[in-house]
Amino acid sequence: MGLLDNLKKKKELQRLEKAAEESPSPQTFSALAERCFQVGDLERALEVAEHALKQFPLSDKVQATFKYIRKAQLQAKIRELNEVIRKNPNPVAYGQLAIIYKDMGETHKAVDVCRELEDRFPLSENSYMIIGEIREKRFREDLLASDGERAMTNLEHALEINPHNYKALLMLAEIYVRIGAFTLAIERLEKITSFAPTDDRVRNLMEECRELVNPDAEDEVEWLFRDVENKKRFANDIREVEEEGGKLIAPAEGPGPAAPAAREDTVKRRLERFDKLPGFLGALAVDRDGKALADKVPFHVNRESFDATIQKVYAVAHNAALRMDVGAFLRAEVRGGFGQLLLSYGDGIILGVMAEAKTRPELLEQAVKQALSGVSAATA
Amino acid sequence: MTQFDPILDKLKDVVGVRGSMVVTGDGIVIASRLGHDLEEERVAAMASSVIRGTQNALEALGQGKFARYVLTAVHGKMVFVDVGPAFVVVLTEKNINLEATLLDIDAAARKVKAKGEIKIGG
Repeated sequence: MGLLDNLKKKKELQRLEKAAEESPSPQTFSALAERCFQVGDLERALEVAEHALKQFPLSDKVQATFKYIRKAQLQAKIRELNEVIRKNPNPVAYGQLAIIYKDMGETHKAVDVCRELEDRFPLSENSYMIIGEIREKRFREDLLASDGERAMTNLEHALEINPHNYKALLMLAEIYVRIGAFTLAIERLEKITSFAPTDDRVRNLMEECRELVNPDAEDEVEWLFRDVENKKRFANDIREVEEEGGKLIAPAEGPGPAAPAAREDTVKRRLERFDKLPGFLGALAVDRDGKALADKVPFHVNRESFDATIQKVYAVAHNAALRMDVGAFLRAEVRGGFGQLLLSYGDGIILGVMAEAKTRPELLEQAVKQALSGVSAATA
Repeated sequence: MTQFDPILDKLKDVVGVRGSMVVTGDGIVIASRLGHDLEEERVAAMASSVIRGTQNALEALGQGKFARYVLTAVHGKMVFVDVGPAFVVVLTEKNINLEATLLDIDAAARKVKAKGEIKIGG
């Protein structure tokens, strides 16, 4: 029976291989990759999925198959590394495990592994580097001062262990450029040129920093990080490759051109649609700082109290997200005897909508999504 | 060891759950099972601030308590479920299957509630 089964599986694989070869399509490639995966040939499954992704990069089916197989492969690697750590703990295995979690987007697990690495091998720079990279990425995405400061602390710590860590020096220099701390950026770039004098990008970056530096005008690093968070943008942007005749460093552009009044008008118009939502109890749009932009409240609800409630719920949620170090607020769903309240972030605004318990949650969800979509585009 | 620890232990095994606790609205921790990167005091203070702040805000509208609250941020989620005199608070990774995880969380909350009267400090 086992032999027959194997023969059947082999024939099925051959059939799918032939189909993919003769009529290559997202379906034939995905079917082949999935079959390889099912028979336990992970390597071949990934090879087929990668090939399919190159051939059909826009296919949802191919993308989903690739992601699924890649995740399974990483999970196999995680099991293998955990086994190595159990039998023969070493910094390399810990580092690889943390990087896999980081790449999978499971940053809390990556940080957990790094902490264990730090405890067991305090002279390894890996844990500080990985946490530094996670924080640096978050800082670029969310512009929160705490992420930037933690990126800086971890990367500086990695440099204490290995002063010639190129990656740490460059990442730190770029953070300092982004916040406008050119003096500190120059120090880190000079260190790189001491052991990599032919690195043109670093040399050019250093020259530009020297042109822009004004030590008397530079604030404390702590304030520069806060300034980024408050203004919701970096002081400077860095280009990867120098454009012809252009510069690597450019002052960061401010928020979009939409005038606040025009934006409020657009939001107000969008809120009018909530009249049609069954069980609608009120809607308020606020900006990231909690400032009210526009509202729509039925006559039987006290407008002032409603607006104050939404603003308070948002302020509490926003603070909780920051306190728990989980990044910026995206959404809050509150349900109870009163009905339901959905606060959702999109396109630069937070929209809070309250509805009765009888309102179908998917209708509320859809209405909020529609109201939030393309506010900037409509305003511009 | 509290009577709620086995429930929270089981919840900790759910994929993507970083930790959970049973806590009163005043921030008194009754039981907790948190990951290495979560400090009990900090989570309890945050939970108290969310529970009391949100309920106070709703009371201004004459609306009172909430039964369940799911807060989503860029890098993680927090869930608060009312279990009578206290709340079950769960912190998760960002990439979780929320629908499935909420089923586990609701099941845990029902068990906590079913364990009977929650004695503060017990």
